[in-house]
Amino acid sequence: MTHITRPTKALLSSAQQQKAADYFHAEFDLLAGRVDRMMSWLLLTEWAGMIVTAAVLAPRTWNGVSHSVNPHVWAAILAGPAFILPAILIAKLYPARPFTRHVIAAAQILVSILLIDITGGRIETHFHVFGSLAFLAFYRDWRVLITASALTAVDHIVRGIWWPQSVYGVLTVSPWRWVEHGWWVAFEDFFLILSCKRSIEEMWAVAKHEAKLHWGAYHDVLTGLPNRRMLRKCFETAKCRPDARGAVLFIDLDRFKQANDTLGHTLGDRLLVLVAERLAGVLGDGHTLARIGGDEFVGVLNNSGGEQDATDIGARLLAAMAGSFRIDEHELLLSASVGISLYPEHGMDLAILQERADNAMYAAKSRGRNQCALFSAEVARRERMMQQISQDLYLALPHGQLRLHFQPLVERCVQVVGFEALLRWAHPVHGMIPPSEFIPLAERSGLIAAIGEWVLREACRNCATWQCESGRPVGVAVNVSGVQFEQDDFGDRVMAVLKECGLDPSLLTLELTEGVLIRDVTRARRHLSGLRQLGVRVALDDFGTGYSSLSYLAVLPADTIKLDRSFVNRESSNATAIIDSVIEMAHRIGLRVVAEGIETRTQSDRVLHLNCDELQGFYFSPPVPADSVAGFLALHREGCHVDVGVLSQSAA
Amino acid sequence: MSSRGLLAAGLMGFAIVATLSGVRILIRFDQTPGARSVAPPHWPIASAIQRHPDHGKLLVFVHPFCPCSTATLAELARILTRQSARAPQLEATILFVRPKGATGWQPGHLWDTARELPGAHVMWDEDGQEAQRFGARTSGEVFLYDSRGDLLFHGGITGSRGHAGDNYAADQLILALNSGRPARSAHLVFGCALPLSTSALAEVRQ
Repeated sequence: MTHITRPTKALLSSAQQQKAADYFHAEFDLLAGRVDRMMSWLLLTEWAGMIVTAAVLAPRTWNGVSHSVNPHVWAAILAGPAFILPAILIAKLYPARPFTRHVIAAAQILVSILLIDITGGRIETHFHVFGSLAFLAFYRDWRVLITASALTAVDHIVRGIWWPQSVYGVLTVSPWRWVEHGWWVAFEDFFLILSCKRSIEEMWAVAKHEAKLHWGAYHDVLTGLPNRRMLRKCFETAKCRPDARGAVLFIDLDRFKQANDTLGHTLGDRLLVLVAERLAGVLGDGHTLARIGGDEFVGVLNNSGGEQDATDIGARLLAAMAGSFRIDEHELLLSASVGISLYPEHGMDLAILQERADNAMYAAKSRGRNQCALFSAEVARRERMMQQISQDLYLALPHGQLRLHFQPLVERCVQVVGFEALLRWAHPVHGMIPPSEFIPLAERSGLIAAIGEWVLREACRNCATWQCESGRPVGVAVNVSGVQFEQDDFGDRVMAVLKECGLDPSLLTLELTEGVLIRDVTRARRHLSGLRQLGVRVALDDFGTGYSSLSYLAVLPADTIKLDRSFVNRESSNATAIIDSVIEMAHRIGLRVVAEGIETRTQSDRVLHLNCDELQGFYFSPPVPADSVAGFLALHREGCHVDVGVLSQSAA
Repeated sequence: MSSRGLLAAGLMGFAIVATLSGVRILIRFDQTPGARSVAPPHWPIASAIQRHPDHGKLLVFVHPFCPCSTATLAELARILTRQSARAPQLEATILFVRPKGATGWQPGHLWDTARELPGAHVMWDEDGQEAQRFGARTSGEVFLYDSRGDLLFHGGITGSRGHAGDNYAADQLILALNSGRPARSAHLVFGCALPLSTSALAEVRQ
């Protein structure tokens, strides 16, 4: 491990900085190891070169007529075992270690010193020192250069004082010659050290970039939380501990999609960041919280005390979500549903635990959201059933198991002016399944587009029949899903269906929720304008439940507002005032108002008193099968006052 | 400490000891002078070398293969080049000593270097007869006599074996050349022993 210090202050998190440091040291050690090998080969080559040089310049020393090998040759030969081979061996034993670099540097400079001595202090041989420093700069460690330069300086100063000819050769004219020598070495050192510094900076920059990439691979970029991959790593580590015991929490935000569609994705993202901060604050450092999808978070509790601890933390998570979130001028309320699975009780595989926590989370959602549920056999059974239903849904359409029921729309208690088409699934095993259960499944599986088109076609076909049978215009309202509405050729599809069924476009009302329209206001305006030009009517469904931004009412072309049943059902003066205001406002901008969920005469009288245009609800009739509509219409011809008793009887 | 660590520490220790020992041996070799000799204070009458009565005479005895004498010739070149402008009256003779009848002792790179020295005359000293007359024993030994035949300088002109460069002895030679006054003492000669016969050697020792 090297100890090169980081030259610049990085704007990274401490974890990223640590990772960057790891990358840098790994890269630096790799480089140092390579240079160790290169320098070892260089030393071996220089050793051979030094022997040749000594043998060529002064092979023998003479004593009269007899001669022996010159001690310089011996010195060159013995330099190998004396310091070259030991340095190479140390590089082999301890590659990439800081002290190895210094040993190599010392050996390299000793070669230079010896060469200078062997050649009688010849000035050209001094180039070897400069070459050695340049080679040592490959380490990119300036301290190695300092070691080499210091050794050179000691040699030159000591020998320069006591034996100047051996260092400066014939250039010993000035006693300050060593200053000039030192200056040139310092000059070279300066640029080499500068080069090392720059290289180190570049390596740091690359390491930081890699750390960021690594961080991105293991973290959610938006919230900074660990992602699915990191979660798996953390869990694998946690479960390997002795007596590993903990829990997996699956956290899904309730109605986040609606908030996201209404606020826009930018604010939706900011909301997710705030949510992540709150959730992470509850879990603390000992546990792991990951974001694995849009509004889905998974927490892994390590060494928790089992069910009680997990449910406590789940409750604290819900409590943390209770406070409002403030983003710019928006103040938002959000809740979450939490599903819990325990390990080792429910498994030791993260995928299984996550799936079981997910099942529990769906159970919490089905119990009314903003709840925490623990995985159990009942949850598993229900989820299996839902899975079965989900699979069966693929066959529902081709096997003709989907039915349309129609609920009448009554104009000021005078006459039935139309019907809202409502989907039902007659399951061969489970019986009649309400849309609230299978529509989410259809949306998840992508079947919603095909089902939506079938509903539109069936509704239009039935409506066309009603015109023939009743001899008067009776409209039909069809709910449109977001997936359908986002199709670029949605208008063409509607027109094709109308043409195919031979239905007057003015008798078709498309009901869209605020969330669907606000997802892409420009597209919504384009589609709605196109449809209205063709004569199709547009209703804003569930008005009052979302954010009910009044500005959209002015922008989006619509014909009708459908007041949500939650307003109608509230019997307070405030609710009445709100209904009154909405109806007043709608009439002023030329919109009709339909009150949904009328269940009692009181409710009916109240909204009629407030001048509501149309009413719909069980008070008049529950949704009836298609073949009952003809009877309905026969009983209530145009101009006849609607008799609630007759309607109910007819529906029965 | 691990076995690796011990090995590395052992290697380091060995390297330091071996290197320091090697440096010491090398320095000792480089700094060990040749045998001391006594030069005749006056030009030997028996010498066959011609001496101009008006000029000083510089003699250098060289072993034809002595690697250390390269430095002597380098120093001599520096001195003669410098002196040629100041005292053209100086005559320099470089004598390459070889044993009598020695085969293979032919002119080498030292001979060629000597021939290129300014104003120098190069010749063989067969069997070291002249070396014997002047008492020279070591390659690189220099003798300077003035026009009257009096000894002005005797000794080596390098600071160590094979190392050219400024040194006290060379400075003394230059001083003697410039002033015409004898140098204070003989100087150590760094070079190989000249190939003198046993009898000649005995005579020189006496």
